[in-house]
Amino acid sequence: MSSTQERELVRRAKAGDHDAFAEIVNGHQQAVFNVAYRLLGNVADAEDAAQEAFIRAYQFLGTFDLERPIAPWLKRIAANVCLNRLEGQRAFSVLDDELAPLPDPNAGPEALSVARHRDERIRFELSRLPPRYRAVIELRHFQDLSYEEIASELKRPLSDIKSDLFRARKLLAEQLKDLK
Amino acid sequence: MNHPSDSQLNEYLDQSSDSPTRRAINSHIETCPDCRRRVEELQLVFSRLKEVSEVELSHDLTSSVLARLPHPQRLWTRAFAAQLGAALGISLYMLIQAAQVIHVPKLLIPEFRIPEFQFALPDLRFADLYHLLSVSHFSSLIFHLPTIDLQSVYLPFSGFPTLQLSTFNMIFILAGVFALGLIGNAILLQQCPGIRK
Repeated sequence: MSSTQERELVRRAKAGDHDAFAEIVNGHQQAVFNVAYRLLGNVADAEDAAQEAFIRAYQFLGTFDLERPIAPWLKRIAANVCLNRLEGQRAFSVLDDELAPLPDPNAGPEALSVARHRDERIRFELSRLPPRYRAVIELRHFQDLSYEEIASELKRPLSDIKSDLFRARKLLAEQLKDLK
Repeated sequence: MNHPSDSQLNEYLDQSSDSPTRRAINSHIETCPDCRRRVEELQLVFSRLKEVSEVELSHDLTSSVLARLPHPQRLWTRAFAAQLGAALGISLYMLIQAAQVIHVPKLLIPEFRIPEFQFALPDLRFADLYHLLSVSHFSSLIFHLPTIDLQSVYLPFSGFPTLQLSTFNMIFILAGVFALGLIGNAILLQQCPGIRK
């Protein structure tokens, strides 16, 4: 879809045209779902969060600038929806620096290293990160936001963002050390 | 350069450090195996994260999203128009009742000093409306409700005409206020997203 076509769709959706909005959902649902899946770590929650993100996007469509591409805006809304959900969990505590426990206590790194696909393993390790680390990794590595943009998105000091990002990468490096 | 700090390494890897710092880290890691290892480990994380592929959605979300969308706001629904009409009717009736008992024109018009409006107009207008629409004679004949003397209660200064308000009229005034409240609420509810008509 060209940017002109997309702009026209957004303009119609802004005017209340549900068919136009359906096309937007259809075109971006995959990306929005993946943001939610990386942050929430399970399909059912991610699908629900993706739907909520689109509904929220529809409600705030009036504030969207037609001159900008809609995909990053939708992804950011999805990330916000997920972060709001995660905020309720204990893991957003600043003191929590632990990885989530393994689902199977008998499964050590050896068992995990034979995961069918490498990206499954990486995704798995990502999902074990404390949510605030997951958030900075998502916004920096998958949505390509600058430190300043992440700080503004998460409403946290820049210094916290930098240190979380570094710790998150360090944790991931440790966890993925055995991955060939 | 000493060993770069975590923060400096972070910015180096994110290409956010300034050129002199970048050059300094570049030359430092050439000579410091520990720091080179730190950088390589973190760079590996960058490339691992790039490997993460997109997961396919198991089903189309479009229809479920559309089902949950708020419907377009329509201000002039039939129910809203009926509610507004009824409320306006009650308000108009209440206004006529209130005008009849308060005698505002007799008090205020002479002070405007506009000769052509001093006399007949206010009396004529309110009197006519009152005789056409008022049921205040019902109030005296049927209900025999008590009357409140507004001058003695609310307006104790001299020179102001006595204002008398029957309970019957007061009920109508309150009904009018209630009706206006209904209009306000109806408008607010119409503008509230997510409410389906």
